[in-house]
Amino acid sequence: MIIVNLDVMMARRKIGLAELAEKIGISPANLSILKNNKCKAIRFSTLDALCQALCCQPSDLLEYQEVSYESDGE
Amino acid sequence: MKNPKFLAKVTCVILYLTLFALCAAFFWIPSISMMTRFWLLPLFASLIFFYVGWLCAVALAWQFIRIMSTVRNGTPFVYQNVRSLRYIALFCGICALDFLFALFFHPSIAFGFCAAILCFGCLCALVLGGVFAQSVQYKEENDLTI
Repeated sequence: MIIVNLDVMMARRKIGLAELAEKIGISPANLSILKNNKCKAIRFSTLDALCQALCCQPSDLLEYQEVSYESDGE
Repeated sequence: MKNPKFLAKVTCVILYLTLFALCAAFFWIPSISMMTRFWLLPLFASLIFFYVGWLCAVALAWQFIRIMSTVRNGTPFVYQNVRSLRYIALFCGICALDFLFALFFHPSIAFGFCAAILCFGCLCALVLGGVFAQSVQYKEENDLTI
């Protein structure tokens, strides 16, 4: 599973959601979807704009986590 | 297409007029059945044929209105329309059975032909429903592509 660490980078750079959305040219609603890991895909142009605005690398924003699908027997 | 919303509005108006005409036609069914009982179908078969047909026509008109209203709003790719298309397939199928029922009492090429066309309509609605279901999935994925 791909995790988007946008909230971490936003906290480090001390930038708010509305300000970042305006900087990269997408709506705050869409940015919120990205921040909450609800999005299905991200365009390279959006990723490029995010890295530029937050002065970071894509690996700072995207992280892969293995998800186990075993049931807990509940 | 130059103005799809205008065409959707016109279609909606025509469908509402059709629905109104169908509601008015409900009261004529017994008279029509009485008139046709000697040369077309026995009275009970005629009543069943016309009432079932009327019910299917009203249901179809209503489903078409629901679909066209989403087209007017600019949001045609919704699961509601997939369900509407499946209902359209169902009612076309029931109508086809209705004509086959009438064919049993009055063998005629016209009834057989109508049943075949309605079967084809049922299949078309099922295919379109499948296509719409896939389109809704693609739209949802596209909406969640940032």
